[in-house]
Amino acid sequence: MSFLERIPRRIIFLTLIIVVVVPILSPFPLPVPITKNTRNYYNIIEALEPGSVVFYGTSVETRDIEAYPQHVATLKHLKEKKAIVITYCFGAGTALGQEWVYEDAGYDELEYGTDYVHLGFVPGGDATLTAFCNDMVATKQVDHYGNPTATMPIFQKVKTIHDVDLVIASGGGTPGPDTYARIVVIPYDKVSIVQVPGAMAAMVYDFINLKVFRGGVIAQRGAVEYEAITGHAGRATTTFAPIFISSIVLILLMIFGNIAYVSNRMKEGQ
Amino acid sequence: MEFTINWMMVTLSVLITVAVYSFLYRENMAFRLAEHVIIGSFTGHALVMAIKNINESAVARVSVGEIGYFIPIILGVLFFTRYIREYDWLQRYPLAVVIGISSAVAARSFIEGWIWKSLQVTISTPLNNLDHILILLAMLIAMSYFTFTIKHTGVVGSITRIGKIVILLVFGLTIPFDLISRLGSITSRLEWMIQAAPYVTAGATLLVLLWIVYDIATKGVTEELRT
Repeated sequence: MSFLERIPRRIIFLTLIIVVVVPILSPFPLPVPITKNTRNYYNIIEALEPGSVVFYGTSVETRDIEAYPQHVATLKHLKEKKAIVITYCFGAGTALGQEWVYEDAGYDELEYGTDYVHLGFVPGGDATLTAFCNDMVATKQVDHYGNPTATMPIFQKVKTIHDVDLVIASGGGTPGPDTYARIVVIPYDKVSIVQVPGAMAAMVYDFINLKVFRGGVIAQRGAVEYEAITGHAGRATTTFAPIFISSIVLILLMIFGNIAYVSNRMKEGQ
Repeated sequence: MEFTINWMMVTLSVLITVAVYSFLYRENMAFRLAEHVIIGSFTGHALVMAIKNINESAVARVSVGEIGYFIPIILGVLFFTRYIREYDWLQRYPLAVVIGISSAVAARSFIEGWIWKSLQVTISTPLNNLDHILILLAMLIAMSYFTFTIKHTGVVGSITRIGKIVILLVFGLTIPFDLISRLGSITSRLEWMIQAAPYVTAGATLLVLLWIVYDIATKGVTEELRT
């Protein structure tokens, strides 16, 4: 068993790259059952009336296979429901990423400032978000593109967080979903759903169990489920096979690594 | 093939990615170059965004007569007094304001959002199934680990040891999710490279492989490569 502990890590890196690249070159679909969290997320958006106002804390920095497909599928769904969308970003990078998301979700067909607005990066974390809930225009006077928010048709109707019908929280860290939960959802008792990458899953499950978030699209698997349920198969679905196979390889490596470690320690003990 | 700005950006992006991944073999000049390009770009972008935000949030408002916004500008400038030894005490004022406001906002929201809500739901959940009983027990046992007024010996010691295991289980749960996220990052990058610029990706990969072969041929299999 000791040879397992001596496998050079470069061999492991190479193995992982191969198991990721092969399914990318010859992709195959995998059946994914829809989980309760994703179903609830879908149902909440599906129940929106046309003209409902959605406050969306976004978090796309790259065209990855977790946050990016979650955002695109969500915006496509919101577009179908004719919801008014206000996007808010905690990071400068995510403000740039959101431009692609709007573009890829087909929002250029809609009227900017009336059907949706991209507020962009809003610095200040908790303190600014608290002020934004009380007075949106005074807190964020210009949008991502430098347009004044005060003259936008959206903000003639939406003044404070009380005018918002649904809060969608997303993010891969802090400030992120927990910030929206603490500052917006719990104090104002707003209906809210969440979308996060896998790294944040454990924390978000807590909030879902606490009924703070009514549903959640969690990790790439959640994105695959949501793409399936909305009928907008995208990047998450096409890249699910490599993740599936490489995860199995990683699990096997972990099991064998641990067996080798324990067996070597037992030998040393003798 | 059309040599557009977009093509150049994609090519550069692919080359930088391959250079970064070449670190998996060992550190090299291409990796260091890519590292500096990335850090430089991030710093440049952050600086521009910071100036833009200061302008939007304060300077623009002062220029239209909202004099109150002059106070945060002064407080911001006071942060830089740390570079002048005689006046470095002045930086305590903006720091106090920032910490004071952040603590006030966080204290209220943390107590309401984390502690109160968690307690409310945990206490009000009926203990009518195994899940709920386990959640309550795990919460009490995990909390017992943080009681420092009682010595962790005897029965209390056993309970706190179980509490430690519960906490470790929760930490352990986050690892696989994190690993899958990292795998997702690699997959998305490789998929994008193969789709956006297959020939550049193949060429750059081939270059790296040739370098590895040359490196092993000239230096042999070193101790570094055996680990």
